[in-house]
Amino acid sequence: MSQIIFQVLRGMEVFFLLYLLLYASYLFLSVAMGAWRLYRLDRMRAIKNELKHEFYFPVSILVPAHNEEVTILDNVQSLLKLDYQLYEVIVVDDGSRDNTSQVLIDYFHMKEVSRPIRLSIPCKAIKAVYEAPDTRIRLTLLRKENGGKGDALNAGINASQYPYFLCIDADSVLQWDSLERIVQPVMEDDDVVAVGGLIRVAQCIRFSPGEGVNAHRELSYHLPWNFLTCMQVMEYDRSFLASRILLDGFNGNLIISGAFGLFKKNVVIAAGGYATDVLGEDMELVAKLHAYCRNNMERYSIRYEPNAVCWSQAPSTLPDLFKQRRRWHIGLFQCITRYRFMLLKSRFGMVGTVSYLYYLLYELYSPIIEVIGLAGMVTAAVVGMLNTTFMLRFYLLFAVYSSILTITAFFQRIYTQNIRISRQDVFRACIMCLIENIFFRFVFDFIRLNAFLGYRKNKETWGTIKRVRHNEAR
Amino acid sequence: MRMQVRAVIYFYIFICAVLLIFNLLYIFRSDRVRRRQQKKIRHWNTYLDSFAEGSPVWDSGKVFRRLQNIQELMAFHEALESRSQETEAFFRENGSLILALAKTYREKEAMEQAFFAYVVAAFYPPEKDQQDPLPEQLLGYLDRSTVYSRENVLSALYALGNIQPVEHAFLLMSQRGWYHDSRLLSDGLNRFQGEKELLAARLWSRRGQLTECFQVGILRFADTLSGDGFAENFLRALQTEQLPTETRFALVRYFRRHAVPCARPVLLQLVKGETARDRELAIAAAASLASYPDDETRQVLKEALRSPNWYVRQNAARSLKILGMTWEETGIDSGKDRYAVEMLEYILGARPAAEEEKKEKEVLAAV
Repeated sequence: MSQIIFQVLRGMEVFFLLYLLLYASYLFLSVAMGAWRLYRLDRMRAIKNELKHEFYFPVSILVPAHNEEVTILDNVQSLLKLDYQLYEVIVVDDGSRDNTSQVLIDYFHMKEVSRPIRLSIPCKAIKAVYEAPDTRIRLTLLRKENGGKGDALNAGINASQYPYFLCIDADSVLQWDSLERIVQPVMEDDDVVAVGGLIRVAQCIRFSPGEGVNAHRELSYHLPWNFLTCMQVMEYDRSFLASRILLDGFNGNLIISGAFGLFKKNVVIAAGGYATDVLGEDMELVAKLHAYCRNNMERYSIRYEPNAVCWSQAPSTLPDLFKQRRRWHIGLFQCITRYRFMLLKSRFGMVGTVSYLYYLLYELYSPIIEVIGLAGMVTAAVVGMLNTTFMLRFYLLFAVYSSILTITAFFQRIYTQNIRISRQDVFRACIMCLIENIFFRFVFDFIRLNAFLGYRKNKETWGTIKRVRHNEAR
Repeated sequence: MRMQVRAVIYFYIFICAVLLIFNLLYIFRSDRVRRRQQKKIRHWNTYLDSFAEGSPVWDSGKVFRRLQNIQELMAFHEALESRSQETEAFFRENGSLILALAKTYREKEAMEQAFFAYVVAAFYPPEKDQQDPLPEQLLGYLDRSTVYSRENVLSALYALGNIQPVEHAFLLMSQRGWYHDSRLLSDGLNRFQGEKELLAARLWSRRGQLTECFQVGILRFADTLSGDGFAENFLRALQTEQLPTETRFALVRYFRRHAVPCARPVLLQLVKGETARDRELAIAAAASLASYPDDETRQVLKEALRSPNWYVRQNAARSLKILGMTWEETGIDSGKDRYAVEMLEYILGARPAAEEEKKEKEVLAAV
C-alpha cells in the first residue's frame, strides 16, 4: 500500500513540476512577445507606419443594456463623441426593470418609429424602436423582451445597417480614438472577421470635462484606492498583455471580450450569431467563428489590437467580483465543452491544440488541479515525503516570478500608452503585484472552484453587479 | 528534475527582470529622449533658416549623413512641418541628395522605408518628368514591404504626380496578390498631383491585370471625378465583361452620381431581376435609380418594393422618397403586402394608420 502511495506521489510530483514549467514557459513567452510587439507598435506609430483614412469603415456600435440606468447615459454620451466619421449607436434595452430606456428617451428626446427590422438571426420580440432626431450620429434604442446578453446583441445585429458591428458593455467607455484603432486590422487585411480590443479598468482614469470633440480626450491615470479594484488592474494588464498577444501571433485567440470587440456582420450571421443559452456568449462566438470558418475552409483571421482601449468598470466589492468571476468560469466551461470537437484536430491547427489546451488546463481545470495538488501535499506530509523547505522555496520562487511578469506587463502598458503615474502609484503597483500573486490567486481559485461546484444551480444566472457613474467610480 | 525546473524558472526571472529594467529605463529616459529630439529639431530649423537665406550651415554631404539616421529624419520632418515656403525650394535644389537617400533607405527595413516615403509624400513637390528616377527607387521599396510601407509608397507616388509609376505599383501589387483596401486606394488616388482623368483612364485600361480591390479602388476614384467621361466605357464593361462581384457593384454605384441616359435601361433591367446572374446587383441598382426621375423608373421601383430581397425593398423605398413620391402615389395596398408597407412607412415617414388617428383627433378637437 505504502509503495502505491509512494508511486502516486512521485507521479504527482513529476506532473506538477511539468505543469508549472509549461505554465511558466507560456507566461514568459507571452509577456516577452507582448512586450516586443507593443514596443514595435509604439515605434511604428512614431514613424508613421499606420493607415490613416478619413472615411474609415462604417461601424454599428451595439450596446446591450439590462438595468443600466446609472451608467447608460455616460456611456452613450461618450460614444457619440468618438473621433470617427461614420458610425451609428444602437442601444438594446433587454427588458430592463429600471429606467434604462426612459433615461435615454428623455435626454435625447427620442421618438418611436416604425422601423422594419430584418430578422437575420432569431431574437426575442422587439417591442419598440426609438430614434434620436437631433444627434449628429444616428442613435437608435431597441426595447425588447428579456432574452439575455446574446439575444440583445442578436437584436442589435438585426437592426444594424453597417457591415461591421462593435459590441460594448453599457458600463464601459471607449477611448476617443478606439474606433479608429480597432478598424486598423480590417483595413490591413480583408480576411479579418473579428478584432478584440484592450480592456482596462475604468476606475483608474478620469476624463477631462472638455467640450465637443475634445471631450473625453485628456485623461489622468491613478491606481484606484479600492484594494479589489487595484488588484484587478494588475490582473487585467497581465492577461491582456500576455495571453492575447501571444495567441494573436498564430490566429489562436479564443476570447474577444464582450466589453469591446469588432465583428464582420455577414460572417457572424452566417455562423448563427450569438448563442443565447450560455453565460460566456463572447467566447462562444469566437469559438463559433473559428469552427465556422475552418469547417467551410474560408480564409479568416481573428485579431487583437492592443492600441484600441476600452475602459470598463471592475467590480469593487467581493460579492460582485465573486458573481462576475463565477459567471466567467461557467461561461468558459460551457464553451470548452461545446467546442470539445476542436481538441487536437488537425483541421483546427493551433486553435485546437495550443489555445484550447491552454484554456482547458490552465484556465478551466486549474482550480481542480490545484486542489489535487494541495491534497497531494497533505498526503505527502502525512507519509513523511514532503520536503517543506523545497516546497516553500519553490512557491516563493514562483510567486516572485509571477509578480515580476505582472509588474513588467504593468509598466509596459504605462510607457506604450504614454501615461504618467506618480511615484506613489509605482510603489503601490509593486506591492499589489506581490499580494496578488502570493495571496489573491487563492481567492480566484476558490471562486472558480465554487463555479464548478455550483454549476447546475448557477448555469443560467447572470447576477447583478452594482454600477456607479464613471465620475464617481474612483 | 527539480533542479532543472528551478533553473528554467531562474532563467525566466532573469529575462523578465531585464525586460522590467528596460521598461523602467524607457519610462525614465523618455523625457531625455524627447529633449534630445527637440534639440535635433532646433538644429534642423537653424539649418533650414540658413538654407532659406542662401548660406546653409551644413554642406550637402553632412545633410546626407545626418538624414540617413531615422531619428534625424524624424527631426527633419518635424522641422519641415512648421514651414511652408522653404520646403519646396529645399527639395527642388536637393533632388540628387533625396535620390541618394532613397537609395540608402532601400537597404533599410520596411518600417524606415515607409517613413522615408511618408516624408517624400508630405513635402516633395510634384515631378511630372517621366525620367525622374525617384519613383523607381520608391517602387523598389515594394519588394519587401508591409501594408504600411505600401500605403506610404503609394502616397509618395501620388504626390509626385507621374502616372506610370502608379500604374506600375498597382500592377506589381496585383501580381503579388497583395490586398490593399479599396477605400485607401480611392482616397490616395484623389491626392494624385497630375491629370486625374488620364490616371483613371490608364488604370482602368489595365483592369484585366488588376485584382478586385484595385478595380474597385479605381472605380471609386473615377466616381469622385467630375464629368461623365467614363460612363460609356463602364457601361460596356458592366454589360459585356466577366468582372468580380464587388467591381460590378462599384460600376452600378457609379451610375448613381453620374446619371447618363444610356445607363437607365440597364439599371431598370437589373432591378427587375431579369438577368439571373446579377440578382444581387439589384440592391445597388435600386439605389442608383434615384438619379433617374421618370415614370418608368417610379413604376419599376414600386414593383421592387415587393422584392423578396430586403435590401432591394429598402433601397427602392429610399429612391422613391428621393424621387418625391408620396404614400398615396405608391398605391400600395396595406392589406396585400405587409413588408412593402412597413418599409414605406418607415422610409417615407408617412404612416397611414397614424395619420388617420391624427385626423380623428383633429376632428374631435374641432367638435
